[in-house]
Order: sequence, then C-alpha cells, then structure tokens
Amino acid sequence: MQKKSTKKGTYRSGAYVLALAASTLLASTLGSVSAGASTTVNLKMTTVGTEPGLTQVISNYEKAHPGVRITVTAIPSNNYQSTLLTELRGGNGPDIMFVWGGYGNPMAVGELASAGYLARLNNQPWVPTLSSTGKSVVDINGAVLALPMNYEVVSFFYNKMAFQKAHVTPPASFAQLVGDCAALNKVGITPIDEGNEVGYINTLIPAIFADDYVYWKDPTFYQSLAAGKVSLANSALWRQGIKVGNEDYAQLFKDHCFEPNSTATTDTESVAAVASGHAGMNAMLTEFEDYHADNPKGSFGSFEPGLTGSPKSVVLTMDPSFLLAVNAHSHYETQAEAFLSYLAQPVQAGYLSRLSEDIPSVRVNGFRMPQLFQGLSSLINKDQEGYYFSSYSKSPQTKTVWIAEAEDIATGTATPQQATAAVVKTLNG
Amino acid sequence: MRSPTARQDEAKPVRVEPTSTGRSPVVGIGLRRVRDAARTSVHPRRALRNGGATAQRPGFRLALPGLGLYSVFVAYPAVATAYYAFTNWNGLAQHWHFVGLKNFVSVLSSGLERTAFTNTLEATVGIALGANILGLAIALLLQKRSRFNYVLRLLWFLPAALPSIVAGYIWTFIYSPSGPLDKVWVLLHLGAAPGFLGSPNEALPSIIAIAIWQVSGYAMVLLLAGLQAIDEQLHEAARVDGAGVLQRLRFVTLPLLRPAFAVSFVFSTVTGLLLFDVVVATTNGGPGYATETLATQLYKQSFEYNNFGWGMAMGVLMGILVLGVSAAMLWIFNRKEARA
Repeated sequence: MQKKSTKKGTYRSGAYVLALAASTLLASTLGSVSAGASTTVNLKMTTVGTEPGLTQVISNYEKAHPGVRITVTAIPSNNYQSTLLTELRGGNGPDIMFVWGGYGNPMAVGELASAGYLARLNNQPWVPTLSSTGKSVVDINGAVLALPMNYEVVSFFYNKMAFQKAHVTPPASFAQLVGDCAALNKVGITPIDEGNEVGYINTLIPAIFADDYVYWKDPTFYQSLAAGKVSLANSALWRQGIKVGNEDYAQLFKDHCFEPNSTATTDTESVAAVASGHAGMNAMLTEFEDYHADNPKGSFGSFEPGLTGSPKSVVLTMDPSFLLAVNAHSHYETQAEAFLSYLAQPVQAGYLSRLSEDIPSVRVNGFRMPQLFQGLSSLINKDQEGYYFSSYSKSPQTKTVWIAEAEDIATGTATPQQATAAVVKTLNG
Repeated sequence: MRSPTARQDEAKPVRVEPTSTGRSPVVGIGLRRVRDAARTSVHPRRALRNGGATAQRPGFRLALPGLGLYSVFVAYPAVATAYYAFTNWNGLAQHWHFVGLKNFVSVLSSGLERTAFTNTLEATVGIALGANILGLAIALLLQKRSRFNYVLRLLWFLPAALPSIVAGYIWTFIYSPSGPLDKVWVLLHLGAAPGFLGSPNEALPSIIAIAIWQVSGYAMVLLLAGLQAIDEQLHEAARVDGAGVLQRLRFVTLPLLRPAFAVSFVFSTVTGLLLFDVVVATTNGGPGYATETLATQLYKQSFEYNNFGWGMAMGVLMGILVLGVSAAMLWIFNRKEARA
C-alpha cells in the first residue's frame, strides 16, 4: 500500500516537472514568435564603463531604424573580462561587445579569435577608412575582427597655476623634467602625483619613455610595427626601450618626483591632487574632464617630455580604445554590423571621439582636437605617434608583469635591470 | 573504531536514571531504537538490489534532490577542474590537448608560486592565531549575559556579516595615505605613518589584520557557545580548590573549549589558505608581488593570462592542501580530546 502511494507520488511529481518544462518551452517559443511578429530586433551591447555620447548616438540610430532596439550594459572594468567570458562560454554573449586590440589582454581580439567568438568584418564599408595603426590592432591573420573607434593619448597633464608658482614650464626633455621636480618640491608642491595603486597606471611613465627612446633611435619603428614588419617579441630595440623606460622611472623616484606612498594612491586621489594644485602633474590616459570636474576654475595643460630635448626624441604614446566587435554566434549579426557601420561614419566617430577626448581611428575630415591636446597637437599633426605596448605584445602576461615590476621599482624592491629582465621574459608569450 | 561511550550504552539496559556520561537517557533510548530498527531491516545494499522494497528506498529518494544538486554544483566542477588540470586549455578555445603533469610541474617549479605559497602560509598562520586569540579574548569579556554585552557581541560580529570584498574596499579607504588611520597617526604624533597597503613590507600584515577583523567575529561566536556550555560548577570547584583566574582559564576553560577551538581553527585556517577577495579589493597582489596568494595566482593565471589548465592544476593542489591541513587539524584536536 505504502509502496503504491509512493510510486503514485513519484509519477505525479514527474508529471509536474514535465508540465513545467513544457510550459517554459511553450512560453519561450511564443516569446520568439511575438518578437518575430513585431519585427523588432533587440541588439545587446556590452561596454566597459559608460562611453560618453553613446546613448545619444544609439537614440538617433533607433529613430532612423524603428525595427532595432539597442540595449547597452556597461560593466565596470574590474569585472568586465570575467563577466563577458562567462557569457560567451555559456552561449549568451552580447551581439556587440567591447574588446581590446592585439593579444595583450584576455579579452583582446587575438585571444577571442582563437575561440571563434568574433565575426569577420572585412567587407564592412569602414575597413578601407581605417588608419594603418587602427587596422593593425584588429587585423588577426588577415581577418578584421573589430572596429577601433578611437585612440586614447597617454600624456602628462599639469596644473598651470602650480607650474607658475614654481616658475617652471612644461619640460621638453627628461633632464628638464627632473629639474622641474626639484623646483616644485622647493615650493612645497608634490611634483608628480601618480595614483600608482591602480595597476596599469604604474606602466604609463616607463612606457612613455620606452616609446620615446624607440622612436628616437628608429622613427619608422611604429610604422613597421603596425605593418607587421617587426614585433615587440623580436625587437632588440624595444627591449632596450623597456630598459630605458624602467631606468628613467627609477630615476624619477630617486629624485623625489613622486608623492610619498604612491603605490597606495588611487587615480582619483591623484587627479584631485593635480586639480587642486597640491601636485604639479601626472601621467594619465585622457581624462581631462576629471581635472575640470575636481576644479572647474583650474587651468590645465598637457605635454610629452621627450628624452633628449630634440623634437626627434618625442613621440605621442597612444592606446586604441573603444574597440567594438560582433559576436560570431549572434542571431542578429547583420544588424549588429550595420550599427557598427553607422558608428564608423565620420559624424558619429567625430562626435564620440570629441566627447571622450580621444582621437578617431577612422578618417574624420576637419576633426578638431580636444582642447587638452593643444600641447600635443604638433606631434599628432606630424604623425609622431607611438603605441602603448599592450596591443602589440603577444601575451596578456606582459602587461601584468610590467605592472608588478613597475610597482617593485616604485617601492625599491626591484632594480630597473631586474624589472626589465622580467618583462622581456614575457614578450614571446 | 567505536568510542568507549558507545560500548557502555550497548552493555547497559535502558534505564531512566542519568548515565555516568551525563547524556540524557532519552538519547540512549533513541539510539537503541534506531539500532534495533537497523538490525531487523534488510541490509541497505541488498535492499537496493531487490528494487529497494524496504524502508531504505524512500530515504534514498529523499536524498536524490540533494545528491543531484551536489553532483551538478560540487562533484562535476571538481571532476572538471581535475580534468582541465591535465590539459593546455586556454579557457577560450574549443580544442585542447592533454599535457600530462606539465601544469603541475610548472606550478611547483614557479618562483612566483613560491612567493604566493609563502604569503599564503604567513596569512594563514596570522589569521588563524590572530582571529582565535582575539575571538577568545572578546568571548571571555562578553560572556556574561547582559543587554550591553548582547549589543557589543552583535557589533563585534558585524564585520563577519560583510562580504569580504566590501570589507576590503572599506579598509582600502581606512589605510589610504589621506585616510582616517593616517590622520589618527599624525594626531597622535607617532611620526611618519606606515605605508600600509602601499608598502611591500606592510601590505600583507595590513591584509591579515583585515581578515582577522572579519574572522574574529565567527571565532567569538563559536567560542562563546563553547564557554556557555561549560558547567559553572566546574569553575566553582576549581575556585574552592584555590585556582586563580589564570589557572581556571588554563585548566578548566581552555581544555573544555577544545571542540569549539577545533571548528574555529579549521574555519580560520581555510579562510587563510583561500585568501582572495580582500587581496583583490585592496592590492590585487601588489605592490609588486608582496601580497600574491595561491588564490590570486589561480585567478590571474586562469582569467588574466588565459592559462586555464595551469590555473586548474593550481586549484587541484590547493584543494589537496586545504583538505590535508583541515584533516590534520581535526585529527590533532580529536586526538587531544580523546587523551583528555
């Protein structure tokens, strides 16, 4: 008797489970049908943080294309890679996603291409308009896998009032930078407040000087790199550049250029210190609006110090930013590609670049440089452009190791030679 | 091996008087019934072979949802982790190759892993000792029942209720160069404030302090429960025998707290061995490699370097380490208890 009732109970439970599964299946099928019936395509887009102006551009696009809705999910940079990789692995990735260039990041196009996650975009109308630099970071073995919207500039930002107080001008050489440090220290201003608690920021100053050195020795180096004629892994010049970058960075610490305990200072604190005039300068990616937000009445400028004082030893370090790729497994691949083509048009590209204070990767005639680049515009106009190394390194490890080694230089735990050896070891992937 | 207590129960007839072990006689009756029921029923394995037509089958059925969940969320990931540890999978590609023990050899021979291992070991010892000593001190101070003590207990336990990542962010602010701790340091004229999270020498101790702050709440609750289970008459007897406060602590309280300490020590040790969230929120392993732990290395290798097979090998080794240390600690505590 007992046995009978248990079995009955089991069958009943089984029937409930089946009914639930069937109703779920039915609901999802009906959902798809109704979505199809209204012919509205819902594109999912994932970005790192909020991209200024993107909401407006999407709104314009949706008005012009009533059948398309674009939902943007902005994920903080700390969680972006793990979140998106999990979604992609689970077959639930967005239709359009933010990616990094080259191979130097877990979510770089080169890494994602190996898993077949990215759609090939070679036939898109914007591909011929890409600069060679822009193309070089998204072209993996002849396949263009992302649209590089713009470039961030890695440069020094300074507080004009603080410099005036110390009677210094933006340095034109490394020696002059060291001299400015002494002058700023004398009037009680921290020369460089560098927010070294944030990993990648540690690498900005060494990378700037490494780029300057390489460009000084071979002005065609970055063109060759973009064209794939040289690689960071095989270049003795680049290895020497890393060494020079690390040595100069260590020298700046010896000359008391940085705030005390710089590895515990965040980028926000660092920008606030320069904005308020407690510090004279720092090296950052383009974030001029943050300085103004902290001190609306402040006056700020930007500069690239260079190595020797000769204009030939100055190169502008740039980093491709806001690269967008299309999920190869998207049901709406065509619609996603159409939206990227819309973004790549000069009006949209110029608008987004201006708002994010970046330089567009696609050709935008008459693009006015943001105000902060006034000190750098001559370099941009002369094509004196170098690249932040991570898009061209063959392994995500290079960036992480350089971050840790630069921190060790900052705290005196490693010599520049030891740091260089550790970074060079990662170059071959 | 059966315990002496069990043998005693078996020999005695069921009686209503209190047993010499102090256990409730009702428990004795319950155990006896269960044992008798087990003797009269069919052997479980045979029962399953016969289609489970006995009392065991509903039990097995009832366990099925739990077993299902366990298989999906515990057993499968564990087996998959072990499987990928022997491959060169990068976490992305659809194909991978078996590489034998290469990942394990690489983990064990890596200099960085030695640093991570040393840091993890230091953190584990620091957290286990710190949290339990502090937890015991607080438990002793707050063991008397009063409203004021209830509030204080709650306040001390509060950090344990915080997610570690949140605790990490809170302390990043407290430790920051312009943070409250720095200001207090200056106010007290203690000289230049330490670098805390920014200094390679002070970052790990600073993180250990955060973990102690969190884990000591658990330790306090466990030890408080242990303290309250100690019969007051034992203290009274010791007092009559002329034992002072310290002697009573040493010869009465601490030995009787051993079971509570066993749980608390295992918990705090495992927290130390798996230290991750607080490190990620505060230093992410830096400055340099000063606060790299085994768990942060596992994460970095798997998700930042796309070196999944390597990370999984690390995971397997960590699992063995945690199991081994936990088992060893329980064995030590149990052995001492048996001797006592």
